[in-house]
Amino acid sequence: MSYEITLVLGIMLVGVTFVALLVRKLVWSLILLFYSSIVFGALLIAYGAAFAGLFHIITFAGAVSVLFMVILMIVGAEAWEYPDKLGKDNLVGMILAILAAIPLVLLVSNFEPFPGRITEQVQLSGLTAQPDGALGFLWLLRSWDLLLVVILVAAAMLGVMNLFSREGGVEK
Amino acid sequence: MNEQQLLQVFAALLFLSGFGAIATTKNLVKMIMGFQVMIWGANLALFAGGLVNGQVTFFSTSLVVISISIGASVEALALSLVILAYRRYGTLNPWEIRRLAH
Repeated sequence: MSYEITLVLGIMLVGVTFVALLVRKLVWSLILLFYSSIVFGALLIAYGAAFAGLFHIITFAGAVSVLFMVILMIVGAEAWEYPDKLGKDNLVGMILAILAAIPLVLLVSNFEPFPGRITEQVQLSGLTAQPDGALGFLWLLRSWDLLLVVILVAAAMLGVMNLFSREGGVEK
Repeated sequence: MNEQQLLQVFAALLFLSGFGAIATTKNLVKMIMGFQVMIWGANLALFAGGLVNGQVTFFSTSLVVISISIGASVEALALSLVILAYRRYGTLNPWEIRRLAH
């Protein structure tokens, strides 16, 4: 699998998905998610995982898209278009997204905050040999998994508190 | 940056896009769409995690298939709950649903 094909398919996938989540009309969101699910399946198929790719296309581009369509038909006019402006109410959500982005970016960049300390602790425990296997690369990221989990759990808790504590813009 | 790290970056972007949609929107259907995108990010991360020298492994493919099944099931359940909430409260705005519930 060439690097260029991965880059093109990935940019298509992320770009279309981002636009699908930003557009206000839910019908357009549904159509764009349908398209991006096909791109996702094509990405899996291009890497040789034909079963997973076809299963993804059948599930999300087929069943789930039809399910969304039925939901939009049942709900009716309210779901076709809705007012949703970014403002102070969405500030907490954007901050949480940025907080969740920081450990993920650090994760993929293999950044080590305390070089030496974590490695010494692991050496004292005798777990220095890197395991072989399909997911052996996760061993290289062992110094970050705990921090990632803690930050994501904290962000999720804040998000849940934000969702269920605000009164929203309805009463304004 | 090799292909594995590139896929991980795309997975992170997908996950964050879905998380941002869930945190900022005021429509339950759009929230479920964001949840779907988060599932895609997790699937892509699982898939990228199983790449060895650019080749996919059976273990990661199995994990992706299982994650797809579970994600689609949870999503269908969430959509059914949305229909129940809409029939009961007549709106898809979660803040208004919360106000009407009290």
